Amino acid sequence: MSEEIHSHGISSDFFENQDRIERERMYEFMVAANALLKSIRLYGPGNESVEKNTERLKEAIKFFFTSETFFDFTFNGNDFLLNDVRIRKKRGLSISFEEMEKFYIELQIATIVFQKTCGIREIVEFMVMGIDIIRSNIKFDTRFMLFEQKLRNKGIKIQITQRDSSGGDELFNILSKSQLARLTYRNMILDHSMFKTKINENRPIPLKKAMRNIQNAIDLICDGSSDSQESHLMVLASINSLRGKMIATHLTNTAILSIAAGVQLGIDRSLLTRIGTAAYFHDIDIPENSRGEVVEHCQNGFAVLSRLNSLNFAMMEAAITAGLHHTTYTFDCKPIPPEKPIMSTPLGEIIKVCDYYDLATRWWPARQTMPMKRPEAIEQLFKMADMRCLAKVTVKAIFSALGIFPPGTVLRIIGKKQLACSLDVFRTTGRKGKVAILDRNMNFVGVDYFYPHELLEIPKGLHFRLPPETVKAMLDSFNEETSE
Amino acid sequence: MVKASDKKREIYDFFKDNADRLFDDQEIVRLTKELVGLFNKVIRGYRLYPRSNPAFSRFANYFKKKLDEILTDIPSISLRISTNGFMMGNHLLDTGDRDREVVFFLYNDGLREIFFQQGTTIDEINQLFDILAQCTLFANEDYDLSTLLWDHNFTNIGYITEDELIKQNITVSSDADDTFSPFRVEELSYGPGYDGIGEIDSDEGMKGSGESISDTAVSPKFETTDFEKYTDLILKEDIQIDFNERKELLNQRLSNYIVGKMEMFKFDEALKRNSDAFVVDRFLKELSARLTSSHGTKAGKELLDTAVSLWEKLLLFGSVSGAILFIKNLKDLAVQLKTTQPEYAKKIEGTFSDLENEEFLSDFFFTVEDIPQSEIAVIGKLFAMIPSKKMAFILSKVNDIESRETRVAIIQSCAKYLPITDDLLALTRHSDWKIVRNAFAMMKEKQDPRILPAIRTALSHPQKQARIEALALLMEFSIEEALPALERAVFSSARDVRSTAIEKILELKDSITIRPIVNRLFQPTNLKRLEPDEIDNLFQMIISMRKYDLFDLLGQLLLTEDYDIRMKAIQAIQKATTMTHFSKFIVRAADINSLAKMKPDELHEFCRLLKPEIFEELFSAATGMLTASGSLFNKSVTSAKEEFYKAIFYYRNDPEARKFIDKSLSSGNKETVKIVSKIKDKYL
Repeated sequence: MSEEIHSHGISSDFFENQDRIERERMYEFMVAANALLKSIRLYGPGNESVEKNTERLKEAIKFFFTSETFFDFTFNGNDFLLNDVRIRKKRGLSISFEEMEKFYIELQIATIVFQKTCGIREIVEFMVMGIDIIRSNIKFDTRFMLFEQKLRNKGIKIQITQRDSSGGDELFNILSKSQLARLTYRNMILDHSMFKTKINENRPIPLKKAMRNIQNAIDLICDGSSDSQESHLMVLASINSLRGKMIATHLTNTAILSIAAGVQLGIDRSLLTRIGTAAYFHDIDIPENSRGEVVEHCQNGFAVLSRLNSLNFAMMEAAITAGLHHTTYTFDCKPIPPEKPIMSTPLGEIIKVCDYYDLATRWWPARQTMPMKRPEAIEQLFKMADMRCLAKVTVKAIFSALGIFPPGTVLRIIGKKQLACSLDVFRTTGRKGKVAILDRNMNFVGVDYFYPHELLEIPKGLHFRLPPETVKAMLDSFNEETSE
Repeated sequence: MVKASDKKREIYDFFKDNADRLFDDQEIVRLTKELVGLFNKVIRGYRLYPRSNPAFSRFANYFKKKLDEILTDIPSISLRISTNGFMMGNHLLDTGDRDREVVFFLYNDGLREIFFQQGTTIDEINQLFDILAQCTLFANEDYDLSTLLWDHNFTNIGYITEDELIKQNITVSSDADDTFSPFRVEELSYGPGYDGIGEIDSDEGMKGSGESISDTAVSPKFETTDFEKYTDLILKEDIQIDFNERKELLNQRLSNYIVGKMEMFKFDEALKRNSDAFVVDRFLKELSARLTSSHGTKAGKELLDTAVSLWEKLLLFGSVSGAILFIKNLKDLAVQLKTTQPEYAKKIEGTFSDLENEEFLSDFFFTVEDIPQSEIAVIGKLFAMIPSKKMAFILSKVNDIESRETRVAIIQSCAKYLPITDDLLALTRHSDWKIVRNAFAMMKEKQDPRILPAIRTALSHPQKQARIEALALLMEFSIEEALPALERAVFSSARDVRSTAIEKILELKDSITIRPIVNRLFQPTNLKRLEPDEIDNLFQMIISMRKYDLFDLLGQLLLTEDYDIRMKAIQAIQKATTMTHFSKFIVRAADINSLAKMKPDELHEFCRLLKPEIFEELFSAATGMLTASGSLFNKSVTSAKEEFYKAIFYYRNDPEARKFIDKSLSSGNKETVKIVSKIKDKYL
């Protein structure tokens, strides 16, 4: 090696091409592991070819332990993933990963976790053991358990996880629409922490998981049948928040509201997925424990969302929205009128309106102001549109989606001296809508139906925050409805 | 109308109830097994071959056939996907190990059941296969089979995902409510802060809650018993309202503020105006702006990380135009920062190193056959960003592409967007003729004077294919320039080169230019250097291309000394629509002395050239025919005369022919009279 190279140390290209080098190492590891597995199957341990491939794998695996003490090696049925990053196959090349695929499939393995303390001999032993089980006549669905047992007995530190099981012959039922609505909503909130973890670990996020929830929500809102879950979802999207999940609830609510507003504007299914997904991620960078964070989150939000799966249009919309949605209003919902109208993207404008509505109508620990009542928030949105802070058509869209008394609005029943909470979308005066009847202590009494003109907003200056028991009872009323 | 979700439930229930009965039908089970086998074939196939491979359309047809057979007696077929394999209801379809891989794939993507209804079209099946290909070939972080199936919204193909199912025993248990409750009571946020009822100060009341920073929710120590106090406040007032008036008011509000058709239309227009390209552009603009303003910060570092990988990702996932837009943007940014922040600019520049990385480019070419045509059309723009020294590599990769259509599309795009560089010109001297060809193809549309010398050089390329390409190209550029080279090529020792050159020469309309070359070529010595069928082709081309200006050169060959050439000329001329253009030469060759020298087969073929359109000229010159006679030992004259008159007699109804026959009968030459009489007796 020349002195010149010595003096420069590592080439700057190394830093420029880190991603690429990592991909190459991953591929090399995959090829080496596959070759080793094949040679063990064909010749058994101790063979010269096995030894050669063992050395090759030993070299390849080193790379992954330079900064980590373990790494995940997963097969998802189509691709192999190392620490959640897909190893790209090269079509047309003679090298295939069939040997490894078979190993995973036959042993029902989802993920193999290699630890830094595992020696290469341990890996070889692991492979030999797996191949022996595949060769034996052991029943297919018991192989994983046996393999796991053997690894434990031998004290091998390599861990394996089983792929999801369908539970053999167990029968399943299809969920009712209301069950699906609740589950979708709950998943959207609970998945948020998983997305945050992935972001913090700088790993790709499983966007498809979010998309599936969004698509379910779209189906349930657009259904159009008599047991449509539109009202149910809109009520869900009006709940204050789950304990310790303020941001997750905000994102979920904004996503559902954006879809509903998008439906009112007649936009097509694929764009509804996009708007829902973008809304679901638009504030993903805000930490759950943040108190009083304001506009600054936009800069980081854009950066994070740009990095994450940004080939996806939904993620681009999410990034644009994240970066721009607070240019015309503050976290305190104060308008910042622009000199001339600023538009992010048409879908981004819908998300902005929904973000504002959810922001304005919820109790935020970090905010010193009281939430607006829902009809009042709608009025405020129209005022904001007049100030060119929001696009008027999108404000109309959210009004169309929520109706005169948006779900969650506390109302007075005219002539009955009784309070109620809107559980429906009051879009016309010709149809009775569903309300929850509340007693004087805000307890849930039951469900009834009224025309909108039979209902009245409570006076200004009062704002009820419903007790959790009441909210739960109201939501359970949707389930009872379906059961009946 | 039955909604999709209801249909899904109906089919699910139908199969739950009827699976046992269907599983007893051996024929349905057999066909269903074959159907699932096709899934496996398709998915494996996509890993090996491009989507354009005809095998996939065969698979689709076969799939449709099987499906139609299955759906003859039942309205739909539903396949349950379990970890153990495909199932019909609760029965595992025993397909050996063949479906394990595909089942793994489908199961992992969250699919638990897929069904096909009567009426499933071949188009739907093809789209389903496209989805399978997309999931098999491209990234899977952003979408999976279920999300793509949803997107396609098939009329006759449905699916059920894991999210939609629940174990049967749970639904009947008392846990059902908890499982599907969106939250438990204790999960609700009700902690310290502004619980209970909020109330604003009375003087702030007029402004509306939430608008003032001084707005605060009162009663942090609110007790639930306080609810009553506040609700009483509301309900104490007895409100008397006219329902009709209020209804009118609400109707007014609804009609004023609800989205109308015109607004929907306008929004749709806005969406069209701000298409996907707009979103990408907007995103990249934001990214660029933030890259400029945020360097040195955490967000700035994050953005740069994105920048490094984004364009590569875009490219490898088929978005050529997205990658181009992004690279351009970053390059512009690097230029802007060059003086103010040279290090940062250098770092950005460094992100493009993969553009000259052969392995990266190879990876890109692996996916190129799956890239949509619209993206292929702009691929030249991308190649224009790659250092031109890499063009040889790119062109060799283009040559490796299986689909001709894709190859041509890429070359066309390159021709449109790639500038002519010295590196590109140098490729016209490359040892691989295919690279030379592609290099020329990329440059030829541009009327750039630098191409001519390159073409001239390529005319002496060691590989003849390169010479041919160069020649053809030269013709397009300048006939004057091409002619000397073309003439040399006509006399080349390589047949391919000669043939192409001759063809190109004959395609030229300017006969004054080409005549000397053809004339030279028609010299017997030169013709003898050609292969026999080559001469046939050459003569035939002159006839079929109706090169009237060259007919005389061909006719001239009737008089040549060389038998083979003469024969070939005769056979070519026979195919001409009229002999008029050759009359002068036929008449000369039809002289009895010439005819007498011909071999019988030549004589026979030649006499087929004697046609009415040249009779007048022929007979006025054929005086020798009337008077000449054969001798006792040399019958060649007699034979020639016999053959000649037989040919004439064929057209005996022609006035000229009749006149000549009569003249022959009264010629006084015994032999002539005898021959003519004999033929007359035979045919009349």
